Amino acid sequence: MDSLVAVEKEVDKALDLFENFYDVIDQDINKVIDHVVSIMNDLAKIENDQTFKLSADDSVSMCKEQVRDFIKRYSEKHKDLHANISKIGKVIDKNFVPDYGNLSQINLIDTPEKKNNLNMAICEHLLRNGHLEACETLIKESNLNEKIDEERKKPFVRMNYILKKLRDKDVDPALEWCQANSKELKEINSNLEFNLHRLNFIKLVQQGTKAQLEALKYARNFAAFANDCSKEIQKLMGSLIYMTTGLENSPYSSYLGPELWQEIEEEFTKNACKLLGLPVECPLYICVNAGSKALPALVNILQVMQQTQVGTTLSKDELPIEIDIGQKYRFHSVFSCPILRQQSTDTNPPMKLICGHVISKDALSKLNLSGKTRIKCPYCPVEQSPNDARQMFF
Amino acid sequence: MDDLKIIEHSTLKVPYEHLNKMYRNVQKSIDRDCSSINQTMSQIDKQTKTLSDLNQKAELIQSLSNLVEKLRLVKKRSMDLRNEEKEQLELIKKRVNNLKEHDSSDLIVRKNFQKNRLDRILIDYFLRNSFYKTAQILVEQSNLQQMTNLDIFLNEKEICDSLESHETQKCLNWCNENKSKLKKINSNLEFALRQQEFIELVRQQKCLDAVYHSRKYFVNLTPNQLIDVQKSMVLLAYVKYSDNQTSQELLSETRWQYLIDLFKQDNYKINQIPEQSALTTILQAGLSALKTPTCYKKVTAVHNHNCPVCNINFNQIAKPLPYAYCSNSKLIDSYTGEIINEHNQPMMLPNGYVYGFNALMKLMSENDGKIKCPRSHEIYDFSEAQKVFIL
Ligand SMILES: [Zn+2]
Ligand SMILES: [Zn+2]
Repeated sequence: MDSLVAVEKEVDKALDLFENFYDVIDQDINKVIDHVVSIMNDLAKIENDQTFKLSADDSVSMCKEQVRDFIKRYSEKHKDLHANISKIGKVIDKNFVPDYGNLSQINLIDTPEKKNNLNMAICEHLLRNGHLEACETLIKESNLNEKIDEERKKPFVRMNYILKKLRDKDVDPALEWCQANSKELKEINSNLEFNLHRLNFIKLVQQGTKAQLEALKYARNFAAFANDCSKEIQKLMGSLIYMTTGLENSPYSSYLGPELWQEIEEEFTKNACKLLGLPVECPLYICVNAGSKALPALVNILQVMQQTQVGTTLSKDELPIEIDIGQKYRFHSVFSCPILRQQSTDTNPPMKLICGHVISKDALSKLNLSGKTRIKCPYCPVEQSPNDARQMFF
Repeated sequence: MDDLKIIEHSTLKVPYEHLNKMYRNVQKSIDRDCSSINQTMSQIDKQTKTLSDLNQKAELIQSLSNLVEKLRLVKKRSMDLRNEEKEQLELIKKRVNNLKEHDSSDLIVRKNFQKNRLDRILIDYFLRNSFYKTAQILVEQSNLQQMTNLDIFLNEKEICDSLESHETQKCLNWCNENKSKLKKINSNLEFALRQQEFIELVRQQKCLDAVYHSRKYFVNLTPNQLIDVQKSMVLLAYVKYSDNQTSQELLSETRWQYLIDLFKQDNYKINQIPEQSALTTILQAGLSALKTPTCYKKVTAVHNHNCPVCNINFNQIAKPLPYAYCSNSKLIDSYTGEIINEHNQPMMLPNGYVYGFNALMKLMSENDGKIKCPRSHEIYDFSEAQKVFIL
């Protein structure tokens, strides 16, 4: 944030100086024009040879001085502004990093297959976000024609239509979709249909007393959700109290913000993708978000590694530091051996000791270097045979 | 360091570079105007020195009126220049303000920023890969005209197209426009273009023209360029080129592709566009941070189709990348997707499969009090499950 403020400060300064420069120049040029015009008028009145010559000599040389003065200022004052321009560039360079250092040395997309894979992932992202036209153009421009058939696009076309309507605050197509898929939605414990009804209801309450009867009638739609959403239904019905005074200054003001509408779009997309057998969240979006979290840390550690001459590139096995990308983006169990601090692999799986403590197979072998028949658990007093340890699967 | 610092340098530096270029052109324009005024003024001065009688009055007044005309023109142009510079400065300001949304206190604004950022990164990727139409559509649909550098790439496309149809003029014009910048980065582009022109002349059997061309353009060469020139000049000596490898290389069609790549490289450099697309670098970091050994295990692995690394589109791409480093175990129940921790104790079935306590309860309720392992389908009693301790 500070870096942005620093750049903005320089830009604002430059904007001021430029405005000022052109204001002054405009005034100056007006003065010169006025002066020349007045000379012309004066000369026009003269009817005497001698006076004409003297007066012309005099005024033209004065005019010459003024004009030369002006053009000198015009050019030089603009030249002076360069210092401010280049300052902007310097502040940008000082506050932002121009490249990714050694991180960009590997060529991630090094085969035509991988290129196709990446373009497919982008197509999926575009479809999920309502950019049907962009997706179709990308398919053409990147020659993905054989890979994506019309059948695959079909469900997205419907999805896009519903999303577009939701953006216009029209929930009806989404409700229709819910009713057509009610069985499947129930299986995934979806609240989508209720949340859509909720939005319709709030829309009615917002209209004030004239929609009172209609709102009451609409509330009957909530009956089907009485078991799962009773609390929220209570809350919604309470909003009827504020119908006359308006929701703005009531405990219900949060219903009016854009949040609910944004949330419903996301919820619908997630539900629709789940029913289509697609990942709940767009894989490309997850990668880029995780990447923008990881990138600063990785660029940083590479710099440190270079400075301390530990190395210049990342290891091929494991990142040098832990990056917290949040619980939401954890998709698999990772077992890290508490003794060796290594992640388990197929050849070094987690082993459960008799006592219930878990260590890696490599750690177990190290405990048993001398080939003893009995070992002691590193975490409790239980003695046991290494052969009793069991491999486990998370 | 935050991600803005790493990712957004070019978002600000590219319009800055454009501002700088524009500023220099404005200076040139101002200087041209000034010298033109100066010239007119000098003529009037001269005219005044030779005045003798009133008959010349009209002539002098006409000259002065010409001067006024010129000044008015300069005044008008100065307003145009003012707007140009102001607009470009304001463009940088707009980009700064857009980037500020990254740290907004409003969650929706922040989410929108991330969405837009992905679109911007994709547009950059499209443009680098010549998917110009896709880029244009996304720019329009996402309203990102001011946040992307479409113009630079569309200009680039025009020149690339001309090179593809074996024309050098447009690219040479571009070299001329950016002469000082190209000199600063030791560009070889103009030389390579002239060399290509020479080769084309030889191809057309216009050997004499080729010699003239070489005398005109192959001057002040660097040692490396001299070697290249000598290689090209050899072409003049052979009647048939087919049997000489160097000649074949020079006459090959791929040299035009080489020129296109060379031009693109220099175009990126002088416009401060990073050589690598942000998309692949960010993907590289992101995939690595998400990658676990489980994503590549074939036998015992739990498939999670929400995981991007397991996703068919990214699995191969992520293969050569390092795994995320994980100092402490983090367990996720393969059946319910819940976290396994002290509130949801890990339990191992006799077959070695581990589930959280909650999952076992759920499995029991679904199967008349018996646990049917979702992976091996063996059936157990709850008493057979053993508590395990993950440190
Ligand atoms: Zn133990
Ligand atoms: Zn995975």
